[in-house]
Order: sequence, then structure tokens, then C-alpha cells
Amino acid sequence: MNPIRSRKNKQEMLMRLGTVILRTVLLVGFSYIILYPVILMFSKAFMAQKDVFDNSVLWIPRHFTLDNIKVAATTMKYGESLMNSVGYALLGTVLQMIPCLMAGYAFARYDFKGKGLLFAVVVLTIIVPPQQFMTPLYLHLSQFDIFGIIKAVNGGKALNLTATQFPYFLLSLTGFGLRNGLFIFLFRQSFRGVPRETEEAAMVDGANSFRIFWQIMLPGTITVLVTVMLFSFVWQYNDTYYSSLLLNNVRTLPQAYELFDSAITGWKGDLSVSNMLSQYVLDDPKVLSLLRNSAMILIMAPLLGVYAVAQRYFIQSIERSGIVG
Amino acid sequence: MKRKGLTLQRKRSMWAYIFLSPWLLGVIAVFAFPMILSISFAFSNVTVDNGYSLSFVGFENFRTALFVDQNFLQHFAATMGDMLYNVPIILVYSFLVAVLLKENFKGVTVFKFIFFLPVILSSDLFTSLLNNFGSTSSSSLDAVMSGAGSTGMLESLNLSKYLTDLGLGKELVELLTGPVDKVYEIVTCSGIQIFIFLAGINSVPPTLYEAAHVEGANGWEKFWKITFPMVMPMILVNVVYSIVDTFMSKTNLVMEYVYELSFKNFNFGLSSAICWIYFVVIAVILAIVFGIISKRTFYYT
Repeated sequence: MNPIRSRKNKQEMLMRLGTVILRTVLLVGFSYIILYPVILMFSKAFMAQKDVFDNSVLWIPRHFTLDNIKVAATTMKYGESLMNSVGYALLGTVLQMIPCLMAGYAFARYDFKGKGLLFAVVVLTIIVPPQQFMTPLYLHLSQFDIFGIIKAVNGGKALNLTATQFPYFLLSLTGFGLRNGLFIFLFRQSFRGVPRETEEAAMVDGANSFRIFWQIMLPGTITVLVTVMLFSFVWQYNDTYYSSLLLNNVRTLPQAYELFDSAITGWKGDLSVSNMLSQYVLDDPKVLSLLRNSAMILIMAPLLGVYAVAQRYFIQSIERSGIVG
Repeated sequence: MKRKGLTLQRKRSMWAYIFLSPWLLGVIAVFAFPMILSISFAFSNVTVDNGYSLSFVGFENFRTALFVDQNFLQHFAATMGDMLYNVPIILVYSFLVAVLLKENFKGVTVFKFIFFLPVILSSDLFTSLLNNFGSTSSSSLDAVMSGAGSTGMLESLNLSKYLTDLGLGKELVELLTGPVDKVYEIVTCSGIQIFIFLAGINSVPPTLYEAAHVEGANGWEKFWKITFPMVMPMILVNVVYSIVDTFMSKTNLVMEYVYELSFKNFNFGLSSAICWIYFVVIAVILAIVFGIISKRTFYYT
């Protein structure tokens, strides 16, 4: 073999080896940072109380137990809270898609008076902090009235809607739920990518606008739709702000967690959980962290499960969906 | 021949309004009305009893926010500082990871799974649980200074202890260990950005690289002359996304303060005024950033 060539090959191979090592080191390092709290959560949740006081136990529990999880599940009324969280997040996701898809389509394909201005409003809804309009909205809903009509009917009293789920549905159905401005923007981008020819052909064949929207535009944007729905679900499931204002009389998981936290930090001998909680040394922060981690694992497990099953689709759809174009 | 009904143009714009109608209703009922209410709150003294009542006080609330209130400007400066510090690091980090994940090597799906995990775990509760282990950099540093141990996670406790023992000042130690303490924060809020960059890098036509290869370009040149300019639009998207994300986060100091003012102190006037100041500053910053970057952005199509 040509000696110069073989030297060059060797050099190339060394370079490649260097790249692989560097890449692996960086990726493994960053992955460790991301996974650290997750590993910690799993380690703590199944650790018996006596392991906490045992200095020789760091990651792997010496006494494996399901007690922490059981206590957390009972105190949080896990089944009911989970159903509420999943139910409202799912319902909200489906309802939000209706106004967001329709608005996205209108902005992508139609010319009308005030289009520029209205699109500026979409951008505005993305950058206005939710706190800015949610607080007045909340106050307004606490004494809801439409031009004095309700007062007249209800004997001079305005309605207090904050105790109902009405505001939640109102916000979802009008496209003002959590980060819905962003969704409208993403749908507009993806509708713009659907070829015009199919749409025009359908129009020539006499399909009306709703039919075009339903039968041509929607299937054309299905990847983006699925991605946005997944995001919407995850964000709503994890959200504490909207749910604390709009669903304050429904026990969702974040609310259940708050209750659980106050139960373990300020435990005053509530009889319903006393038998289980009394076995813990609740003055010790390490013991509290065992219980908190168990509660957190209960909250995160459903999402992690869904993600583990659907991750391939989730990631690929983001990479390919043109969500960024 | 007389035209029957509406022209196509009119018909189309009528359909547009039909498609927009749910959202338009929302703009009026859920957005515009509360925004106007929020403006009037900002100029009033709001008293909450059964409902609420307003008394006009002019610019009093704004004056309070800017000159009297001791917390707002401090929180605001801290949030701005965080943004200025975090956004460039987030961009560099997520670009680097995207470049690493672009290659098709064994186990790349596992890494993709892990790097997207923070988006799934983007729960305030989860974050607050973490803050129970670790703490913000300054307080953990205080803990080191005062000799108290801390159970800080992934923090440069040993490093800062060492540097303190060397006799360096507290400010200098904080400056040096700051990025280490922020690693977790940066890594966890870069999930979406990584995948936006990855999508951008994957959409660069391979013919460009082939042509460059034929011309004798090396990897370094290919990166700066092809990958980087082609991904420029994604950089714009990511900068805007990161800034908005930082500012909107419920856990940033200003937003926490606003929540506290509204729902603990019931001082809706002051909290609205603060929101408006904050919002105007965000809008101006975004406009400037957008202006600067979009001028330099190269669009291939």
C-alpha cells in the first residue's frame, strides 16, 4: 500500500476516534445532569425510612418499601386526582384545537380586512404574561354580568362564575388556554405548507370551505396537530397557574400535592391518615423528601409512561413537522 | 349579466371571519376586555370586597412601582440579568447538542429520548421539589460561608468552598461558579430549542455539503459556511422562544412577585402597573432582537 495514503488513513481514523470520544463524553455528561433528579426520585421513593439515617446508603435502597408510595397515594386521593388531571387536560386539549385550527387556517389561506392587525393580536397574546389578563378576568368573572342583564334577572346580584368550571371551558373554546397563541401560530405555519393545488381542485369540484378545511387541510397537517396536542396535554397536565385559578374547586394533581405537602409538613394528627403518617419522623427534612419524591413519582409516572411509549413518534414529528419553518 | 350574491373575494373574507369567530369572541371576551380592565386597574386604587371597586389615582401606581416599592426593580433587574446570561448559553448549548445528535450513531435515539425529557418534566412542582434539595446559588454560597452544610444538587459547593478558602471575595467566587450552578437550569430549559435546531440542521440540502466536499472544504469550513448560515432562521426562532420562555415563566421573580401582590396582598392596582411596565419592556426587547437578527438572517429559499 502507498505509505502516504496509509498515514493519512491512520490520521483520519484517529480524528474519528477523537470525535466519538468527545461526543460520548459530552452527551453522557449532559444526560447525567438531566437524569440526576429522575434517578434520585426513583431511589428515594422506594427507600425505607431507616435507610435515610444510614450513611452507607446513597442511591440504592437497602430496605425496599412501597410504604412511601402508599402513604402518598392515600393522602393525595391519587385515583380521583389523577382522573381529574388527565380528564381536564385531555378535554382542554381537544377543545383548544378547535379554535386554534380554525384561526390558523383563516390566517394561512384567506385575505380579509384587518388580517395584519388580527395577526398582531395573535403575537401579542403570545408575549403578554398570562397574569396580566388572567387577574382582571378572574375578578370580572367573580361578578359576571352582561350589560346588566344578569343582574336584572337574578334580582340585582351578579353571578360568581369563579366557583364553576365555566371559565375553563370559555378559555379553551375561544383559543385562550395555556399557550394557545403559540398553537395558532404553529397551525398557520403548517397550513401554509399544504399545496394550494389540492385546495383549488376541491373548490372547482364544488366543495365548500368547511369541507376543504375538514377533508383536505386537516389531513395535510396531521403531524403538526398531533405534536401540538401532545404539547398541549403535557403543559396542561403540568400546569399549576391556570388550574389554580380556573379549576380551584377541582382536585387536580398539583392541588393534591399541595394538600399532601401541607399534610406532611404541618401534620396535626388527622385521623384518616394518622396510622400511616405516624410511622414517619416528619420533623426530618430527609424523611420529608422521601415522601415528596414518592408523591412526585405518582404525578410524573403517567406522563413518563406515555412518553416512553410514544417518544419515537413525538420526537420524529417535531423534527419533521416543519413546526419551525 | 347581473352578479348573483357575493363576489368570490367577499365570500372568501366572510368565510375567514367564520373560521376566526371562536377566537374573535375570545379576543373580545377573554383578552381585550380584561386588558382594558387591567389598564384601568393600573391607574386606580382597587379595593376588593364582594366584587371590586376602583378609584382613579393617576400615575400613582407606576410611581410606586418605580420609585417607592423596593422589591420590583430588584426583581426586575434580576430577571433581566438572568435573561441576558441564560439566553446566549442556552443557544450555544442547544446548538452544540443538536450538532452532536445530528449524526446517525448507535444509541442516538436513547440520547434524543433523554434530551427531550425536560420538556415532559416541565412541571413547576417538579422544579420546586428540586429546589428543596439544592438552592439558588447565592444562598448555598451563604451556607458555605457560614459553614453550614447543604444538600445542594449538582452544585459547585466544593469548588466554591475551595475558592473561598483561597481567599477570593464572595462576588468573584459567585462569578466563577455561577455557570456551574446554572448548568441544570440551562440544560432543562433547552429541550425544545435542541429539537428546533436539529430540524434546521436536518433540512440543509446534502448537495451543498457534497459540492463543498468536491471543492475541498474541511469540516470546520463546512460548518461555518454552510450549516451556520442555513440554520440562521432557527437561531432567530430560538432566541425569540427562549426570551419569551424566560419572561413568561411563572417562576421568574417578577411574575412571582406579581402573583404575591395580587393574591396575597390584594394590591391589584400595583400588580397591574408592574405587569404593564414589564410587558412594554419585553415588547421593546423582542422588537430590537428581532430587528437585529432578522437583518442578518439568510433565507435560502
